[in-house]
Amino acid sequence: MDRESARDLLAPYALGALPEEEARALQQALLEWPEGRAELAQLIAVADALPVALTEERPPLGLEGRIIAKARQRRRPFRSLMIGRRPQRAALRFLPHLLAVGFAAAAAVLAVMLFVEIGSDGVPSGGRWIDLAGTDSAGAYVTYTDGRPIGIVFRGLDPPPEDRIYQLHRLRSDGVRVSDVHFLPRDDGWAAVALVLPVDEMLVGFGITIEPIEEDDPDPSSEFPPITFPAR
Amino acid sequence: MHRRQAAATELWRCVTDRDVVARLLQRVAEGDEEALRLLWRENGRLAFTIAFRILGREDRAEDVVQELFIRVWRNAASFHSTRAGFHTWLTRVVRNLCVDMIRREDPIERAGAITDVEHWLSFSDPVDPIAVNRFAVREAFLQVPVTQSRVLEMAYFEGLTYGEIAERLGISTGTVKSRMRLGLRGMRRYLEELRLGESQAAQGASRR
Repeated sequence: MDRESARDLLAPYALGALPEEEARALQQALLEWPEGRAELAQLIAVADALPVALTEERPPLGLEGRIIAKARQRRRPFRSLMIGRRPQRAALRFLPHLLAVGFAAAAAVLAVMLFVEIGSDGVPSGGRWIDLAGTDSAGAYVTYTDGRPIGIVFRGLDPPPEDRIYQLHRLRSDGVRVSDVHFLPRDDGWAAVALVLPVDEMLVGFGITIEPIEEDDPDPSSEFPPITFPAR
Repeated sequence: MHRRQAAATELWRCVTDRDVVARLLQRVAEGDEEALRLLWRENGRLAFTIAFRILGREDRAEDVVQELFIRVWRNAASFHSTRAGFHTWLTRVVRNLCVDMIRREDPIERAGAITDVEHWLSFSDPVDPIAVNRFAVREAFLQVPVTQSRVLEMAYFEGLTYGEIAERLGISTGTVKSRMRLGLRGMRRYLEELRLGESQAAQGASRR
C-alpha cells in the first residue's frame, strides 16, 4: 500500500469504519511509517472524544444491582501475586489434563523453533531478555518478526503446584487481556510459547498466571505482574 | 458506623483522588463489589448513553453495558490505567460491542435506531468541568460542515464502514474518506484553538 492510499484510510480507521482486510493492510503499512502513526494518534484522540458530546441518558432503574448480581455469578477476578507450592492432590486425577497440556507445550516449543533462529548457545536470536517481575530470577525472551512479537521463551520458572498450570495472557493495545495457551515449564525451568495472533491484533505486552487445572477449583488464580514488551 | 458503610465512605474518598480509577480497578481486581459499584457510578451513565445512542433500544443498551462491566470485573487486574485511559478503553469497548451487535442483527430491526443529531447534541450546563469538555466537543462537532459531521456520525455511532456510507449517501468512497479526515481535523483544530485561548486567558489572569 502506498503512503497516499494509506493516508486516505487513517480517518476511517480512527472511526472504526474500515473493513477488516483494509485495517490489517493499514496496520502493516503503519509499522514502518512513524508520521502516519502520529497522524493516526491525533485522529483517534478526536474520534474517542465524540461520545463525550452526547447528552447523557439515565440508565434504567436497578441496572447497577443487576450488574453486581451478574458479577457475583461470574468467576472472581484474579488476586495478586502468589507464587509457591500448594498442597498436593492426587496427581492421577489430572493425568489426562497434564498429557494434553504437555502435548500443547511441546507443540508450542516446536512452533517457536520454526519461527525463531536458535543460536549455537541455545538462545534464540532476534529478541531481547527481560526480567520477569515478581520472581527472583525468572526471565522472558521475546522474539519478533517484522516488529511483531511472535514467541516468548521463559527461563527460571518454578514448577507450578501439581494441580496448577501456567497460562499466558496477551495484553492488547486496547487494554483488553486475552487468555492464551496453557503451558508447563520443563524440569530445568525453561518453556517456550508461540504467539499465534490475529493479523490485526496489536499487542503491548503479556502476563502469565498460575491457574487451577480444574475450572471449578475454588482457589483463585495467581499471577505475575503484566509485562510490557520491550522495544526492539 | 457499619464496616461496609465505612469501607464505602473510604472508597468514595478515593473517588476524589487523581488516580481514582487505578485504585478502584485494583480493588475490583481483589473482588471488591463496592469498588465495582463506584466504577459503575462514575462511568455507567456514559457507557449507557453511548450504547443507547448507537442501538436506540434500552434493553439492548443494558445488555451491552452489563457485558462491559462484567469484563471490567473479570479483567480489572490487567488494567493499568489513568482515568483518561480507562474512559478511552470504556468508550471503545462499548462502541465495539454495540457495532458487533448491530452487524449481527436483522437490518429491519436497525431502523429503530435514533439518528437525530440535534437531539443527541443538545446543550447542558457548561459550569460542570466535565460538561465544559462536553460543551467544547459539541461545539467542535457542530462547527464542522454538516456533510462532514454526518459521515463522522454514521461511522462512529451507526457502525458503518466508509463503503456503506458512500452507498447510503450516494457519493464516492473517496469523498467519504476525505470528509471523515476533514471532519476530524476540523474538530481537532477547533479544540486546539479553544485550549490555546483558555491557556492565554489563564496566563493573562495570573499576570493581573
